[in-house]
Amino acid sequence: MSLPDRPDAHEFQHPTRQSAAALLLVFAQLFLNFIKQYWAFFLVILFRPASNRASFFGWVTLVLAAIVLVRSLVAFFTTSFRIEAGELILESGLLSRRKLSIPLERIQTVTFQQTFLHRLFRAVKIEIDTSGAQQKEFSLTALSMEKAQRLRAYLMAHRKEGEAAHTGQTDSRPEGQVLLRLDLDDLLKVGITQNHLRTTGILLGLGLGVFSELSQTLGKTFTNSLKDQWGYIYGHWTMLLLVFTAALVLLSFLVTLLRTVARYYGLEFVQSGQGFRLSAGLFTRHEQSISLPKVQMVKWSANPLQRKLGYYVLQIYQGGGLLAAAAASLKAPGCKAPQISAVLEGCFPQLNSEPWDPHPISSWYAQRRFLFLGLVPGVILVAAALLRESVNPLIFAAIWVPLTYFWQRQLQQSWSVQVNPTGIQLSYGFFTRYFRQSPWEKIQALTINQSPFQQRKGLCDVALHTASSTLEIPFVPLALAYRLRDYALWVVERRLGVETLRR
Amino acid sequence: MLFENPPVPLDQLPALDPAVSQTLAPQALRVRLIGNAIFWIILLGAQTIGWALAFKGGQWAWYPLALLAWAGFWSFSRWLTKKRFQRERFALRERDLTHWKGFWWRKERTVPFVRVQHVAVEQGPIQKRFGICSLQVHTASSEGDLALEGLSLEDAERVKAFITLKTDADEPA
Repeated sequence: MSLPDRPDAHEFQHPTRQSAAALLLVFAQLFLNFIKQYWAFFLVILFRPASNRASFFGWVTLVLAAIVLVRSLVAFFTTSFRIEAGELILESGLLSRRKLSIPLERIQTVTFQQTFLHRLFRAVKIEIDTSGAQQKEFSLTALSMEKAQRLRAYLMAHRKEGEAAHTGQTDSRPEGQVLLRLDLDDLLKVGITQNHLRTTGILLGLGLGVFSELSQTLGKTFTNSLKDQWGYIYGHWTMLLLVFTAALVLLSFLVTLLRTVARYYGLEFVQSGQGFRLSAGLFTRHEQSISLPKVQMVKWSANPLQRKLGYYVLQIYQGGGLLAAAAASLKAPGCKAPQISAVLEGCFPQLNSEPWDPHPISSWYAQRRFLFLGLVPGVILVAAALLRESVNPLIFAAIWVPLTYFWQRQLQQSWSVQVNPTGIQLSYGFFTRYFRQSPWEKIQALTINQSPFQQRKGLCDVALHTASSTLEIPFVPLALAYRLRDYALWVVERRLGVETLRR
Repeated sequence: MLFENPPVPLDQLPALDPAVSQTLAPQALRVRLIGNAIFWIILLGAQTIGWALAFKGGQWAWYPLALLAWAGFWSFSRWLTKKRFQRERFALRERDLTHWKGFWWRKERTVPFVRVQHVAVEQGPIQKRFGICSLQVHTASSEGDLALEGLSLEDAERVKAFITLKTDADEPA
């Protein structure tokens, strides 16, 4: 069914070039890429300005930069897009022309991204994602904000009409209801309650990477100068360790806080008739959209500190063939119970109106994990204590083994597989509690795995594959797994029922 | 259409019975054993070169022991390949395809036809020599794909046509 053209579509019927700001943004992007790639090299030039070798490489770099720059200019002047006969067409290239046509009904999401430079020029980067694509299929470096909004409105309205024509129903849900807005106070609380250990790991990795890069680039002078300045402290390793740990913890905390503020500043989470939209960011403003019919799974989690403050991190997973599931998910930190309920109601209304039937997982889950994570390391520690005639490993084992038992026992008891006629909900977690919810009708395939031990005990692991991620249920009785499998297949395979549920 | 959601007694759901499953083509075992032999012969070459480089001309007296270990591992691998093949089965039903595999670690995967994105038949050179091929069933979930490695070409084409027919029939009008 062809849709009539709108009056405001005329401006996109002729080839449209990107905003002039794109030119500057390409320069900036190139400059940053060069800095990122050759920062160690520039450091060498800085330290050894008289070196002939450095000046030779400097010229090579400049020539390379000039070539890439010319290519970018050509790309800018030869790239244009238009809407013609129900297709969005992108043309690019000078010598080898590339023409990409996307049928409008295949467009899933239109995402805006705004870096600091974009904001200066009131422009946005546009990424258009289609069903079945392995990556962002269509992207424009910069388009003026007004034009970009008009383009998105046109594409989304076209898709909405297409869906209504397909289902025979029109959408009567409210447009643009703000679910969550984070002010600076909330943002700081969200930042404080983030996972700081992850940042510690990243910082450690980054620090070691920079150190190794500098050592290789600057040779012995760098490590020798470090030894000269810091050598005296090597003799006091306990003090060094303490200072280093304290500094790392403080730095991790600050970095997480700053990253959170930079990533989620001005967060606005909006529920519209067609789905959800989230925009946030201090320097680069990201805008993500999720389309309701494409939502595969909703996940929310909270660590102990977040639970204390009543915060959850919400993630909505969308199908659509993207290679990386993370790229197809929308993440909103700082949500509270009412927002979680609103999202669940919006995504899966039928699923949350029915009572849940909870099932625990087998206690063998805890015992097996305790065996591998607790007992085996414990035995190794005891052996080490006997071989080295040292009491330290024994003390460590005496702490580690009971702690692991407690940890695994609590983890197993936290697991709950809740089912109802419409879907499944998993909840689990020791420190951080996770909740995942998905309707049966979203299941793409189903796997039952059994290790030799599980075969002896009549247990198995179940994996429910959706178009965005997999729900994994460990150590459930085989009989329950078969019931889940038969029911899930029945729901997916009775087409009439599935089509009814989709509405 | 009015929304309907009548209760469903779980014991009345259609169950999946492994007894109605089918085995792969017998030639598939020979193909797998040939693939297995190629792997172990390459490994023997690497082992011999490694030994020569590590001991630089000496220590060959112990080499038969290394050969014995190699032969032992290869025999074990052959035995495991046969056992795995004996256990591997698939069941084609009106609305889905199920695949059972694994000897010690067992895996059962079911893909409903309504979820199939596309089906592909692939044939490697050794498979071609024995007249068999692999049938790949792809879904929108990258982790939910299913592969039957070792169907006769005719069977694979028939299964592919059957699934495609079912998938097309399930497409919304």
